[in-house]
Amino acid sequence: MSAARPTLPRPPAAARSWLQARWRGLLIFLSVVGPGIITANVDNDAGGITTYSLAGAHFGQTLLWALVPIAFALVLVQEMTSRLGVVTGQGLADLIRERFGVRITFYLMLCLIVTNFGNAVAEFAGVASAMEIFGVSRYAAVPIAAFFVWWLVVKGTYSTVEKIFLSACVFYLAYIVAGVKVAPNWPSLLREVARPQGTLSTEYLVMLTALVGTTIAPWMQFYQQASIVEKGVRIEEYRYSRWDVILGSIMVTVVAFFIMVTCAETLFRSGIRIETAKDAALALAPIAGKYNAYLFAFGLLNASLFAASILPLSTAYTVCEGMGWEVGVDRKFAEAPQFYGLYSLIIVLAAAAIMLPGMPLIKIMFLSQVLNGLVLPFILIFMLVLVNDRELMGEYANGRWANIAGITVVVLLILLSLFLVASPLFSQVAGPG
Amino acid sequence: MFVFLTELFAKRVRGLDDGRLLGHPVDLVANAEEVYPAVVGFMVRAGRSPAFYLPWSQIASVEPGEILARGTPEVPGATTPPEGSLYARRHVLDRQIIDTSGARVVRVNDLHLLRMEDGLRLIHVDVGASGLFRRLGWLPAVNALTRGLFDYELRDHLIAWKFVQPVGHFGRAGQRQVLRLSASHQPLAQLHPAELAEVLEDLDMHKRQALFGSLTPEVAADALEQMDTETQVDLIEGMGEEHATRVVEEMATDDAADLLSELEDEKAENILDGMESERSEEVRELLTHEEDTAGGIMTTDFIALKTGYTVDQTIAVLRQEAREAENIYYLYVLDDFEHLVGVVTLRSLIVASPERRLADLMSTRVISVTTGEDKSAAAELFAKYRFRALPVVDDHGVMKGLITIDDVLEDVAPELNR
Repeated sequence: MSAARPTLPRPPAAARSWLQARWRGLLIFLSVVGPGIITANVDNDAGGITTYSLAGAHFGQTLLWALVPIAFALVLVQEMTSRLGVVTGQGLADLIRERFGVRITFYLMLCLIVTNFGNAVAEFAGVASAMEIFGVSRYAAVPIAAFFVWWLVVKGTYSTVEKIFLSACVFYLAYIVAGVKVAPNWPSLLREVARPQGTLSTEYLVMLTALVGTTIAPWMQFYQQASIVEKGVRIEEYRYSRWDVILGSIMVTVVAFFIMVTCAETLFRSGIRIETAKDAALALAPIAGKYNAYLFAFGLLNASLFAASILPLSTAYTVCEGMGWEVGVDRKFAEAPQFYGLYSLIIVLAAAAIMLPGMPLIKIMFLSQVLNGLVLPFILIFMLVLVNDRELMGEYANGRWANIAGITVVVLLILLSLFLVASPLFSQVAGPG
Repeated sequence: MFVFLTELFAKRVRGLDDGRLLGHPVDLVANAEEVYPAVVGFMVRAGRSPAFYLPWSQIASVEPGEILARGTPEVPGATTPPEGSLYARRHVLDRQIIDTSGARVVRVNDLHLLRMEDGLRLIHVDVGASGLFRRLGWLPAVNALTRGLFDYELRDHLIAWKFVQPVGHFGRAGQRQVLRLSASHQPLAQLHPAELAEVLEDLDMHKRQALFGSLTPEVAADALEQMDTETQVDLIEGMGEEHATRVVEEMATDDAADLLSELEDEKAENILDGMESERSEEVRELLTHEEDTAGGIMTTDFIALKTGYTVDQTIAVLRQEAREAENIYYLYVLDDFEHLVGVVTLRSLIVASPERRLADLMSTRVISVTTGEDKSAAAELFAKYRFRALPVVDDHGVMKGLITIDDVLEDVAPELNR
């Protein structure tokens, strides 16, 4: 540097390298961000929004506290899957097949097809309800949505689809706007969040279980791990992936919080009982204004479309991976017949189920939630075994504390799932989760 | 007589003399060195204790329901399997393999073994639906159903072992390796570089890296040229600099330059420094051209001839240089200052009498592009003249390189680029 030239004051070298390191870190984070945020947000699908609306409408603020432990459990479980993906470079179905053999994999995949199909039906039902609030017939909305979803995946590449999905995450803001517009008493709300409470009524427990069940679902594990692998995240970048997971989980919880608050502040106060997310949006109109109802409907549409794009794809991907069939949207139909066949079949059948008059939709959705609950324990146990396999994971295997936390969460989730499955025995109140 | 691995695993292992139950076979150990590996023993597990090795020499007979073992060792596990053995379950069953006869990645549902006088040999892997149902125990039911309904029976989809490359990676995380097969059994060598590239792209990142690292630099370079840039960069960045340098050195100069321009500067510089100096000079020269110009896509691997050469001399030069050159059908003739003055086709060279000079044979109207021209201009010339190659000159008419049809294929026929 020539002494004659005036120089700008520069930060000392240490600070400069600190800044550079931060900057570099941010860039790496942006390159690995996606799988965690997308997976967590898809989680707030039609079923999720219904559940949060019901929870807010029927139990007011008394279930808000549950969101904190749910977020914690979500981070814990999703972190394990993404670690499995980064370290092994393999999908979860692939790992399960190699570790536990074809028999377990086959039956697991069968269950997954059934439960994911039920979920897909719920998503198209969500599209139909949301569009009906806007005055569009389901016989127009559902076929268009089905075609859009199919086209998006068959014609898109992973990175363009991911960008579309990430933008879809932004639209969840609709719920936050709706929540802020009902202007709740914030200090008292925050106190509620920090105060675990509850009655021991069966109805309350079923609702609590449904909240957990809708947030942590089997398909998410497969989807997240697959997209981490697809993205090719390297071990050195893993700590940034972890932030992706945490950020996603926080986003989901915040959205869920605002949905519950909106319904608690309006429907619960007025003592209105609802059964679906559509009921919630419609009931909001007279109390909170037409625009809040539209915001709710828009949020539901976005969430349903988003999840409807991902569920059939994730199912086809997972099943073909587990069974060893050719996978991938960059292949021709003849090269990957099982993949395209399964993918198209799920979309067509799920859309058809909505259009056929007299289909017991609420029953189908509830059944899919029960199956979700039945399949989840197995998948969580497989994950724990895999993530503890030192030959597979090396130094990235679970440590003692990770295992204590993991096992506790998994045991609790299993108990809750079993409770959800058994809950019809206790009462008849169980609605769609 | 053929037997499936599933059937073997369903048997029990008993002592020949006392009929004592020794356990169940849980894995099969074979000699990986052979084209059709001979089974050297079983891994047997009794109850919850760890599996022990039962060498083939102790197996008296394989009966329908059981395997009889001779001279039961008092201490199971007294011997261990030979180092570097092939384990049927650990390495192959339920794992992905590359089927080199079909150039694709598939998952193994079952193994097919041949019982011979001197023992068992692994002959095929089963990747079909019948293998799947056999594992599930549904095969008789499924066959009865399809026979009754469609008069059709599921056929085995078997792949001979000589076409099988296992790709499971073993060892601890971070330092995984591909299962080494013998020098006499190299299924991947049967693949065309384009197929090898496709198969590698089908594998997950870690397996791809492990398998790629096990290829010789020549084979790796040929395959690498066929991959998209992103995958190329991943693979080169994932391997040691020394090895990466050897691979890049084997690539065509234009592909090498494209790849290096995508790498981090420091890494690219280190690779260039490690390369043979003549080669790295050429690549460095190519790197100075803009990406989308004729200079940016050309290769420097062309054969340059002098006007004074006779046909005989030219053929002698060709014999020496043809191996490295991208194209030998068109031969470019330069004057003493390396200006491009003519072109001779291989055909006219072969039919001409040996003592004729190139100056008399060559066509002096040479279509060429300059280094700075856009690559779409080159693409148009290819479409118009149906050339296989096009010379590139600088502004003074000095020949700098050569563009072959594959360099502009994406511009001529974009729909081919999947």
